[in-house]
Amino acid sequence: MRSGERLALAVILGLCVLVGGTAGATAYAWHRAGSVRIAIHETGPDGSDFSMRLPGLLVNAAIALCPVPEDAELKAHLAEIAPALREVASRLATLPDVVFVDVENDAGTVRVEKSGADLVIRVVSPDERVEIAVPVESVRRLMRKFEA
Amino acid sequence: MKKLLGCLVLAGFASGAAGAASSDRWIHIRVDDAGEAKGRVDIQVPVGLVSTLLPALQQSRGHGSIHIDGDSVDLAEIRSYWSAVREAKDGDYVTVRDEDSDVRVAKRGGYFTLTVDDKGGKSRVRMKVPLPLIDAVFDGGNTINFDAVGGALAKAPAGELLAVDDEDSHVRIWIDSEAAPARKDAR
Repeated sequence: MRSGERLALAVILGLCVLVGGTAGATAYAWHRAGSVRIAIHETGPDGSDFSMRLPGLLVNAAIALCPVPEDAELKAHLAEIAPALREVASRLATLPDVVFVDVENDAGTVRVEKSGADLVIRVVSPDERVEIAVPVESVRRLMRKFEA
Repeated sequence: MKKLLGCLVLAGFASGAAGAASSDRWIHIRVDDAGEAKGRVDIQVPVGLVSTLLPALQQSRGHGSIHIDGDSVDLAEIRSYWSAVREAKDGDYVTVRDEDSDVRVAKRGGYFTLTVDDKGGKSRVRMKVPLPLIDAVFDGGNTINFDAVGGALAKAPAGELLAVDDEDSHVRIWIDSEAAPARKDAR
């Protein structure tokens, strides 16, 4: 193999490693950040379904980039409760899968649970079913943002 | 030798981590409707989490306090009664037996206990609260010191704090070393 060919091969291999590594790292970060899911199902003949899944990576980026509203009262309130909420969010990450709140009556059920890396809120009523799942890591980042 | 030391250090870290995880106790609140309206509420939260949140609740209420201004509740008076009970020896303080119910208030073994039994068998109350927890409730002025309550709750031993059974509902509050699984009859 001539030196020119060897150089080209080295460049191609280097590019492959670079692209592969970047893709792998992105996929890992994408998977690790989880996703925010919102699903609403209306029962009945005219009921509709709404489902949305946002990659946690985008949500975390939005949390990092979006400014906290410049409201003195809001900021003062956040400054008071944010440390405790951040502590709560940090502790959430270390807890096992568990149902925190489970309420059931004639009007329906409400359940708040930690499932895997997500905080999940499920509301079921005779008319509709709502499920919201938020990665605990995103909640923690949000609380840290409020505290900053 | 180095390998052995490394293994010992790792084992120490592992057991420490396991101990930290298992030391997190849970406070459970369970309410079941017993009447026609069938409903239930299950809440369980790590005690450490409650201890963290309570001071925040206090701060968010302003001036670090929640005032109790009910006409029928004079906190200072209750506090003075409590101080007297706290300093007295263990024993039964109030025992009432009439045609409707039996009531017993006692302090024993580091706990304040209240027992109420309805003669008709319709209702029953069992309360067993660690003394430091009640001390913490009365720690503030004309307020409840949530910071102190959170600290006392974090040190409270596992066990049942309150059980109320009557015709309409069953209420239980207890501290346990682990989270309970969701009830099977949940929808």
